[in-house]
Amino acid sequence: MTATDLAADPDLELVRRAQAGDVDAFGQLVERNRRAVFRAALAAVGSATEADDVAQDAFVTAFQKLDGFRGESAFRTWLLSITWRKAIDRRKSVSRWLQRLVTPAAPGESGEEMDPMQRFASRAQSQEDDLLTSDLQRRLKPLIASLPKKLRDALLLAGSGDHSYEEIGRMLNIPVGTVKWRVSEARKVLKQKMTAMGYSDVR
Amino acid sequence: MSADLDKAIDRAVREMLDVEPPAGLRGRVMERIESLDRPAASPFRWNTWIAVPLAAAAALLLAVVLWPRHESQVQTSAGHRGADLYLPSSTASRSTPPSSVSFAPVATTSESPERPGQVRTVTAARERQVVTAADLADESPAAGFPRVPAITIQELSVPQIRSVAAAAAPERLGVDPIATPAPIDVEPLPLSPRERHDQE
Repeated sequence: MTATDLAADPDLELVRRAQAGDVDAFGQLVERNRRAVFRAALAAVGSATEADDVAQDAFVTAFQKLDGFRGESAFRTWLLSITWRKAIDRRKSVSRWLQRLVTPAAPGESGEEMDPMQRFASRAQSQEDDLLTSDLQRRLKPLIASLPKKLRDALLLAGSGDHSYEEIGRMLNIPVGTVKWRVSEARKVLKQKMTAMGYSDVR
Repeated sequence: MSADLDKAIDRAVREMLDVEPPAGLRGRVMERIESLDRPAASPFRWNTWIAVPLAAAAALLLAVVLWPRHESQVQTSAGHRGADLYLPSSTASRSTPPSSVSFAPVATTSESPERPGQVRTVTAARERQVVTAADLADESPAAGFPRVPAITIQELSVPQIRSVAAAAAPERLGVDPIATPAPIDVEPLPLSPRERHDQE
């Protein structure tokens, strides 16, 4: 393992130790990547509780498949790909759909039932006091949550600052150009909606 | 303007995702990993939930497949059982002292449909049974009780039923054949303007 390899992937040494059977090394990998994994899961499922479950599943799966990691990409990228797949499976799961049917949802601004992402957006906004959060932010978050999933996923992952476009492309299994297009399209849609709501002059 | 909206969007996205993972994530993950290595304390593993329904489905399928065969065997054996109880072999006499009686294979007789008047003996495929005096003692009525003749159910045996010849189909049904319908005259439709034009 050369210095160049370590510079390219700082987790590489821990990965090799974990592959050799050092479980504590894997624990350190969990600690170093837990935030990125959790936030990626949160971007997909919109709920902190579900994101926690997804993150746990992703780490356990990564441990089970660790022998299959050959270093073709950074460990973090590989781990985030697993995380994203787990999150999408969770998002599509029948049990989640049933839970949404059974659990009464908090009404949105329009009084209609909200999906978890919209509830998450409103909750995130409510954590900020009205004094600190401008009206624009208050309007933007539900709009972001209401974007089509493909556009929203790309926008959230890119906007989080945790991932490069290349990394997002690998996670979503799409070309980098498609990632950039989706982010651009998401912004365009949001701007159109905000302009239609009268937010043409923003400070 | 657009740049300001972009900044607002970026800020909104960061705030939406600016959530710390719940404390103890590493501990929970390591616990689950350790439980993978440990044999499950509970006998009910995840694969039990797959294996048990599969086994139940297989048992149900087997029962469905075997059910008609079992019923026919029961009916056949019931018919034979009746004959066994009633009569020893056709060669044995009923007046034979029941010290030891061997039952020949049960035989049922019927009139042969091919040769009227001749009796056809259908021998059921049963092993010889040796009935000891102790078994026959059940047939002897207890003191003071009248002897009740056993009831045979030979009529229910499958060979007996099969030996009945099918009735001949009648040659004439007594119904007149269907009369040939009269031809239907249909006037041809007048030519459409297009057809008239094509003809011209």
